[in-house]
Amino acid sequence: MSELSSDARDLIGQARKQRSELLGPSVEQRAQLRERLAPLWAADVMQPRAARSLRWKLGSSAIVAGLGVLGWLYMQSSGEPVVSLPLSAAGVAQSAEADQRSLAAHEQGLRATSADHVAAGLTSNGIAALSESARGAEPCAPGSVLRAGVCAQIAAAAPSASARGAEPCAHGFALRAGVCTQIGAPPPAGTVAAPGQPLAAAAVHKAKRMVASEAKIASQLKAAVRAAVPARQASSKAANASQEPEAQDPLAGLELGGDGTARSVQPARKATTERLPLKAAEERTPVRAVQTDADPGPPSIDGELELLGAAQTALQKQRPSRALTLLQEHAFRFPTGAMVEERMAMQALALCALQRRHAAQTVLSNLEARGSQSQLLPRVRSQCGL
Amino acid sequence: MRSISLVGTPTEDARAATPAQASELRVDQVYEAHVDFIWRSARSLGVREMNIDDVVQEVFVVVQRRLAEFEGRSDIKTWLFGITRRVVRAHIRQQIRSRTQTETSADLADPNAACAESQLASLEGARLLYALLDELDADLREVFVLSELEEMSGPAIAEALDLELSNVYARVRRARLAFDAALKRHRARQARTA
Repeated sequence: MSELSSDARDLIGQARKQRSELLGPSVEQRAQLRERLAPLWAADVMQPRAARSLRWKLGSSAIVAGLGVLGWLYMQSSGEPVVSLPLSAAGVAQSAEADQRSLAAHEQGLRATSADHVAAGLTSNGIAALSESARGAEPCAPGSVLRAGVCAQIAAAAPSASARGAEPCAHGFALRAGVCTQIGAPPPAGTVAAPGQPLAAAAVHKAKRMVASEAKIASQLKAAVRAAVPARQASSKAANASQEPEAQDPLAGLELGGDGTARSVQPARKATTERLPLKAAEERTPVRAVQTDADPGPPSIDGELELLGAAQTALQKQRPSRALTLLQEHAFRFPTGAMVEERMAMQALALCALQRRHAAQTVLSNLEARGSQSQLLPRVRSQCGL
Repeated sequence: MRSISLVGTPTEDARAATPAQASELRVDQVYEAHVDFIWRSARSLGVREMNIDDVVQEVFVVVQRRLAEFEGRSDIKTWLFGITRRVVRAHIRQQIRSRTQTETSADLADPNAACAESQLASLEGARLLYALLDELDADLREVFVLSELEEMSGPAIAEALDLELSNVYARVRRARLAFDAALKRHRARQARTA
């Protein structure tokens, strides 16, 4: 990536620093433009998109209703229907299908021989077939379809007269609790799942396992965040402190294996403090320049560190192509950055890992041509075998 | 879903809208958050000072018309730059046809132009910047503005300009070379006249 001359860099740097004041609109210009656009916005505010959408839906409904009325009038006059209402027909069909699914579930689930075992007889297949509305139904609600179905099944299947006369809400809390558990509704207060309800017990056990699993994942995430935050702060501090060259060297702990691929030889103590933020940085792709219009701020080394750290992680994970992409982005964003030599050394390492030794040699030659006195050069040469 | 204030103040919501928030964005919020960016972009892409407010107004008319299409899957600045770029190109084509462009690059480049503001070094820098940008081709100018002035990343520029990432890098390289060459020519002219 070619670099701008120092003169051009100064000019661009000045423009960046003062872009809001110099290149943007003045306060008066902003106000004038706002005044000119205000009438348009007033229309937009009065009719936000949600309202426009609702108006469109109401309009569509009115048209359908009008067609329905016309069809009804025509039917009244001619004696036979000639206008079909697809929306209404679809709705009726959907509703009928849902009812059929509910009834099938009841029939499949309520195959117990006595009223006390009806709840246990509700199979998981039957519950799965219940529609969303039926799943939240209350079996004791007056007029409920579920209640009617349960009563009918009890009357049909109960062997004895007493059981036949049972009613789900009057026959004790055990039955009601079982039904509620199976359909996903909250059980009535003071009840427990009746013994002999294997499905309910299995469901409770499964739910407990899910909760335990989620709690474990949550604790792992919290631990990772706790470890990452101080590590990132430590990494930023290390980057800002020039007296700590080891922390600034993104190549620290890297060496090439016999097959030309990079592997990490970092000690375990460093790995615990540096790998987490680097991994997090690598997974944020594509890396975007974080900035605001109001405060562009001075160029920071953090962005460079983030990209080079992600590239280093990619090298450690034996993904040299990914590392090269990140290093190219670094060259694009920071052509004259503070860590150009480190970038070039890592490029050479990545190219070596890809068996592109000629290209790696070229990069190293360019690094030498810069008059670099860096310790990186002999290290990279020895690791690459160049 | 996070609620967005109805008062037209610059909010973070309008700066970085998620897909959920994008459906709640209003054009006045976008204006407050991004008018500077659009103004700068239009100016850097070649719109003259005398026409800049008309062009920015046109951009926001388009934004208002098309805001419902923005789903928040990309950065809103990328989306806004795409609109600005098309409006600016149409404006420049119209200007070329009507030949009403009275302001020239030479006027901007001349630090001794009859303008009280030109006494300020910073304004001179801005004028010089625009003059040098005028010397770049439109394609190079766009990538240069986004990469150097707006400091956008390569992938973001590729998305804004609908280009391959490798093309973005290649264009930025050429744009930097062209900008440097234009600056050197300008310095040489300055040295001759001094």
